[in-house]
Amino acid sequence: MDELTLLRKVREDVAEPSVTALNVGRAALLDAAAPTMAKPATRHRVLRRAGWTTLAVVVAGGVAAILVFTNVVGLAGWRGSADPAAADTLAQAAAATIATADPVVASGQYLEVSTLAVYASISDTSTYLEHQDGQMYIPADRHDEWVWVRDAETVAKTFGPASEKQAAEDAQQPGAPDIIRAADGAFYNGEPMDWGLTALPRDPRQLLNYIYRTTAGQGTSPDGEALAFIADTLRTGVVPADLRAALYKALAGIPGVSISDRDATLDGRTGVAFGRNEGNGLRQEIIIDPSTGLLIGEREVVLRDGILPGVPAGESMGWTAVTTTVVDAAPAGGTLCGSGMHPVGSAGSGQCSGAGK
Amino acid sequence: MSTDSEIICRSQETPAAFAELYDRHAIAIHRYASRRIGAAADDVMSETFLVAFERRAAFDQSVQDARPWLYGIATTLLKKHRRQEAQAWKGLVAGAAAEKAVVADGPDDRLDAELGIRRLATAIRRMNARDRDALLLYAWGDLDYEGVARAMDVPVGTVRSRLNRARRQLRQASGRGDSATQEVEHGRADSAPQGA
Repeated sequence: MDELTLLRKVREDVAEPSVTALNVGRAALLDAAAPTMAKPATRHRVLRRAGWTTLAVVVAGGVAAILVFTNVVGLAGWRGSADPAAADTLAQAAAATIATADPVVASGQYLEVSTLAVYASISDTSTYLEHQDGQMYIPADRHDEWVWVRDAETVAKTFGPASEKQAAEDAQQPGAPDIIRAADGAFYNGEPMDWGLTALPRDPRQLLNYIYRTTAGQGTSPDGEALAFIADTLRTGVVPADLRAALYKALAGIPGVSISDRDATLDGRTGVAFGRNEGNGLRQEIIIDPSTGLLIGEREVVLRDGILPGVPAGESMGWTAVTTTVVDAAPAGGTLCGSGMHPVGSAGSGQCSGAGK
Repeated sequence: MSTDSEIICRSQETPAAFAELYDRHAIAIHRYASRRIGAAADDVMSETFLVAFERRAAFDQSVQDARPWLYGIATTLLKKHRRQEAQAWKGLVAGAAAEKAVVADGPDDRLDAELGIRRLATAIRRMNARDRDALLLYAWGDLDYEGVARAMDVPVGTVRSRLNRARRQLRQASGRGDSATQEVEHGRADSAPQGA
């Protein structure tokens, strides 16, 4: 046996990760993937094509089906919809949001999207929550310079001694916010910011079909993933009224969605939480002020003890509160790649290098 | 089925899509980490994907397979566990762990392996960290030279020389010189009386 063959046999039979370890890792990843506000997003030509691929393999209601889906024909509608009380309240919110004028950004002004975001930091034995807040300033002319202020991370909540200890170990020096500045919102040397909102149908049923199709195969369930897509889209803080209304109505079309809390408070604002219990022991919620139809935020609630180490049932494992206002000026300073980093490669490559934060 | 790079690309817009990459490769990354450091592999698996997610904008979209990139991140994270790794190799040198460390094809093979493995573990313990990383990425990460180069972010030529050096050290440690054929003969002869 030569030395490589032998080496290849060493510890060849190590145990696979436990289901818990796999779930915890996945939850941590999804938690990080829940965007504060749109992260430097790039829309790729290849994917735009792939997004319109008409063949999707979907597991719906436990039955594996291969169906040809379009915006007109899809998963929306025939498998039931949200709980009636939730659907009614969402219809009200949709009506209210259409009537609520979107803020107008005059020349020289900025739309400020302020996001308070809390994420879970999960280890083997403990969990703590961490703030990753920020404000994005979007100029009236989107080709002008955008400014993104990202606050230093701080501990938001701990769960007992092990959690406190972990949080203290991980704690970074409290620092000044990092400021990133880029024309077209091409932060971090990436492509111009594009949330892809124009591509989304305004017809609720077509929109929901579109969502099911583009999220096919992801997440713990097609319905849960559709809800997460809606939460992610709303959380950008830049969704216009007509699309907001369509998203609320699409949410009302997702089976298993119900009102989970009529007095849900985030960042001092109270609204109605719409959520769906998922098989992984978590519930994604979207919180809306039904009187104005404005989004308050979203949160993910732990349904059972022990899903995350040390976190009791009923706690949030993360939440985002979003406010959008018009301001006359954006903060000064900042660079394309943020503190300590510099762009490498061509513009749009998305590559920065350096010590960074 | 989407390629890894398509998933990463999609995750720029739909961050949760990145979970697909996790579902695809988490077990392989865990396996690699577990072979190197044992129990702490759970952390390395989870952290690898968090780091990858954070850096997904920097992923080279021209490469379809994300494994070299992921193994590279895991390898960097393993540096924090140097002590556990050293312990694990030490365990193989010293104890009965060597017997259980390999899945052998037959009794002869097993004895050959047991003898070889202690020397091999010693050599790996003493190896320069970069040579060891290259060797284990190649042997356990199941990457080719180009994959190892990508994982370690060095030219292929560098990988070649690191792997050559690492393999030479393994051969020297086993006292078998440079001829693979000969070494097998010796190994078998040594083990025969005990196996009989």
